[in-house]
Amino acid sequence: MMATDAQAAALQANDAAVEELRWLQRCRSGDAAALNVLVQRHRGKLIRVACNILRDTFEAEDVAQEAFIRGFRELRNLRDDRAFSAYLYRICVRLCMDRLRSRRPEPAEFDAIQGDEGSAVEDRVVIQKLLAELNPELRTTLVLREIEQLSYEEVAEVMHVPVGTVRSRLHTARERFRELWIQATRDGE
Amino acid sequence: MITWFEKRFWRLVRESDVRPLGQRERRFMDWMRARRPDLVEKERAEDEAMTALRLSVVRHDPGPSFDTQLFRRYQVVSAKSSVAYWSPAMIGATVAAVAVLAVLQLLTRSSELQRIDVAGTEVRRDVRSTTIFPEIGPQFPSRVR
Repeated sequence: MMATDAQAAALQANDAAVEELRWLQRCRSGDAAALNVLVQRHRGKLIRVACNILRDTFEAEDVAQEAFIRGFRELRNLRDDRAFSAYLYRICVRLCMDRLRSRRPEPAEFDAIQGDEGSAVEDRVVIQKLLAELNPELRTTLVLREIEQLSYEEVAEVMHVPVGTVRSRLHTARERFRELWIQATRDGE
Repeated sequence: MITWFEKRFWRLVRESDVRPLGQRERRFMDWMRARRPDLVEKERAEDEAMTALRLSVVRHDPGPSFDTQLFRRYQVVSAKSSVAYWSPAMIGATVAAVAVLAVLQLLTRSSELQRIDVAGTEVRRDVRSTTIFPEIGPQFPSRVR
């Protein structure tokens, strides 16, 4: 039964991939409908990753749009059409990093984390401030691994760095984030 | 100061994220935890921080204007890039067209151009053949006999 389910899922995934290839072919020949379909398919993923890295929904939408535009304009550079999704994702993450680099550093002032009283929204604000303390590379690596749940290899591919670099960045990011977290929670006590 | 044991402890904490630890490694971790309560505290704080980070996922559904805005931007960018691509050719073609027109104009109207007679109007130098020092005259070197 399980094998049948797995086979059905694999077939469905294969159908989706074949369909995507067809849409890409049409998109290359300038079909606006195909462009629309591809946007509908991938926009959720791009906006989600941009939101998690940038922590700003308005900027995230802007970056996602820019990623689509860049992706479609450089479609001829895509060697393997099956990697279209990863290609868009990579562009989006790099654009997010560029945005982070161009941001002005803000002085960190942590509001106290109020034990039980702290709502999810307050926690989110604190996390946003803690993330702002990390440099763009560390921040992006941490978000891709912890929130996006990518493997080390996937993070390395997206960020275009060796796996060893991902390991060391993650180590540093976690250590720094832990220190900031301890500082923030201690201030709250 | 971070000791070798502490370094190894944190390295194993990180590695436990990607692979199951061996028996010896687990024993080492337990030994360190028993000896160093501050490390246990830090480990707990890190777990807490990472959990808070994972829970702080930002969920956002794009508005209906997302697609229209995207297509408008895409059209603007495409138009701009095609202008940038074709503009040197257009400028070149315009310059060539103007040059061709000018040549045609000259060829067709060359008979109508007024002739200017320049014979006898040119400026001439009035050159007299005089020596520079006439009172001295030609001299020969004294040694020459």
